[in-house]
Amino acid sequence: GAEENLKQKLAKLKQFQAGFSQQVFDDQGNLIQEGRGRLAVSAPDRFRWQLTAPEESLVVADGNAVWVYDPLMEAVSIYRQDDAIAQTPLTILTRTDAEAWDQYRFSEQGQCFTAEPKSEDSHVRMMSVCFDGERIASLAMVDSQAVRSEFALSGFTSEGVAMSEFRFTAPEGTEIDDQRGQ
Amino acid sequence: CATAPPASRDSASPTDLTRWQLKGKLAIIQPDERLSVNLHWQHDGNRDDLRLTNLFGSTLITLQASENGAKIRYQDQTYTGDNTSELLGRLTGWPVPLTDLSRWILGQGSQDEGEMVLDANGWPAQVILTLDPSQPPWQMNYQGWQQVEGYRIPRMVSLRQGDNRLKLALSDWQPESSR
Repeated sequence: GAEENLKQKLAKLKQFQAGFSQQVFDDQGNLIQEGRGRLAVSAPDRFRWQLTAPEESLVVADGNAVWVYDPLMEAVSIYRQDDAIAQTPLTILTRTDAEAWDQYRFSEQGQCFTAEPKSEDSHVRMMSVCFDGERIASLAMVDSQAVRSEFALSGFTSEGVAMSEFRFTAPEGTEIDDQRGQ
Repeated sequence: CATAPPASRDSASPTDLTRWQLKGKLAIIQPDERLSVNLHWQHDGNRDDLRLTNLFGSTLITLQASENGAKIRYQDQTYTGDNTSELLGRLTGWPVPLTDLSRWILGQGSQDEGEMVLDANGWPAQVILTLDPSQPPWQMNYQGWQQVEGYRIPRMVSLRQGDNRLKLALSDWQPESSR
C-alpha cells in the first residue's frame, strides 16, 4: 500500500539535503509567512533547518537535543529531541519506527504521498511529500485551522551530506536558554 | 520575499491608514523563557487579527480584538476577555496592550503622547510611554526604517516593559489589505 511504497522510497534517502522556498497561506488564502533556506536530514534523528530569509534562524537536531538559534532572540534555546519535530513532515522523513508511522493513515496520488493523523485532536490535519523520481520535490502540511504551509525543494541531493551539518556550536557569548526541563 | 528599500526623507508615517497587514518575526524575551514566532497581523479600523505560527508554518496562537472584546485561540481552546491587555495578562501573566501599541509599533505616535527621542532624520528613535499608570512604562526603540509606497515603517522595533521584552522584525508591511 501507500505506506510501504513511501517507506521504500525513503529507505533510499537515509541522508539528503536541499534548498527550500516556503509559503504559508491562511484559511482565507492570504500569504501569511514566507521564507527561504536549506534543509539537511540524516535519518533517524539528525536534521538541520536553516532559514536565511527574510530573517535568519537555525534549528539543528544533533541526535540528543534540538538547538534553536535565532539572532532576534539573542539566545540559543535547547529542547528535547522528541517533542521538537513532532507534528511536522520531518517526523515522517526522519523516523522509520512503527510508533511514529502508526499514528498516520497514508494515501498515494501519483508521485505524492499524504499522511493524515488517526487521532482527531492532532494539531496537524495533513502532511504530504511529493517526489520527482527518486528526489523529494515538495513538502506540505495543513494545521487544524486550515493554515497550509508549502515547501518547494531545489537542488536535492542524497550524496555528500557532511555530519558537521548536524552539530551546533553557539556563537561566542550567546545566552543559553535550556528548555529541556528536568 | 524582497526587502523594502530604506525610507526616504519625505516618506510619511501611515497615520491616515485604517487598513494594513504585516508579516514579521516576533521574539518574546522573558526572564525564564524566550520564544521566537512568526506573526501575521491584519489591522482593519478598530479590528485586529493576529496569527502566530512556528518555523514550519503551523498555527500557535490566534488573537482577534475589536471594540467589543478580545478572543484568543490556543491549542484549540478559545479564551475571551474585555481587551487584549486583560486577556493576555490573565493567560500569560504579562498584560500586553498589543492593539493599543499598534500605532507605536508602526512609529505613528506623536510627541505629546510620550517622551520621544528623535534620530537625525527627525524620526522616532526611542519612546517612553505610560499607557496604564498602574503598570510600568513601555520603552520602545526603533532600529531602521523602510519605505513602502511612500510610507515610512520601522524595520525592527523593540518594546520593553520591566524585564519583559518583545522584538518585532517587520519583513513585509502592506497598506489596504483586501478584506
